Amino acid sequence: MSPASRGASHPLRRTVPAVPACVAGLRADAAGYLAAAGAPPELTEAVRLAVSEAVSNVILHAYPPDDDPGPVHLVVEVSRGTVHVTVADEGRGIAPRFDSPGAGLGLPIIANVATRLELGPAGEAGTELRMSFDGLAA
Amino acid sequence: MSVPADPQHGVPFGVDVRRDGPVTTVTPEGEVDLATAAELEAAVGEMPSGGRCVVDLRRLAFMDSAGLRAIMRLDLRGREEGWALVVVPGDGMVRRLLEVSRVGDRVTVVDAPEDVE
Repeated sequence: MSPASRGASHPLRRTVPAVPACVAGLRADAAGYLAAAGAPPELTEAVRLAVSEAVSNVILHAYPPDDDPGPVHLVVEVSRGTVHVTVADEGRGIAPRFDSPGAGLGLPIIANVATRLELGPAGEAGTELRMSFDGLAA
Repeated sequence: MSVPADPQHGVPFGVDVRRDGPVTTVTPEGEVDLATAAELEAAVGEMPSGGRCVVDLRRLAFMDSAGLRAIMRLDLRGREEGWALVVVPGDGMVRRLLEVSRVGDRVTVVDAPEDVE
């Protein structure tokens, strides 16, 4: 079903295994959904970058590197001129990790391009990153 | 099926590498993320001491922090091995990403490859 036929009022929901190859598809799905909702290019660019960073964080941090990858959940929703994006995992939660890959760039980038950002536990296990972006004509 | 947000979207990732004496120019196209950043980094290959590597990012449709980490690792490698890394971000989302992350303050950025002295 295309984003246009689905309509912007219904959320986009995706759940896929958290592997590097999934990032481009989730980013494209979010961008396509926003394009169908009439989002301006700069807003779509911000969401595309934030989704990419948030999903990459799940891939890099949520699950032990030697285990089979767990799921990453993406929800994109438009409500009264604001785009709400949630990226969640079912991993080991927020905890210090001293062997962490990456340079800690992802969250600061999201904080810079999103209007609001909230990080918290998701269900019994896992982490949820809730982001919102203003700038969509209501 | 998704609707592409811009005409460049969906271009498969690829890297063009040109070696001309001490200067290597690496030009990726498509999108740099967790799945493709290692390929960009590896494309630089062996560099001569005193050489220069120009990473021309103007043809990219997208880049995220995985690409920034590749750039920073290449910059560090260049400092250790005695060659210079130069980044050409263009005026689109890659430049904004360099600014937002402040990585643009830590690496050499030029507007065009011919701007390098």
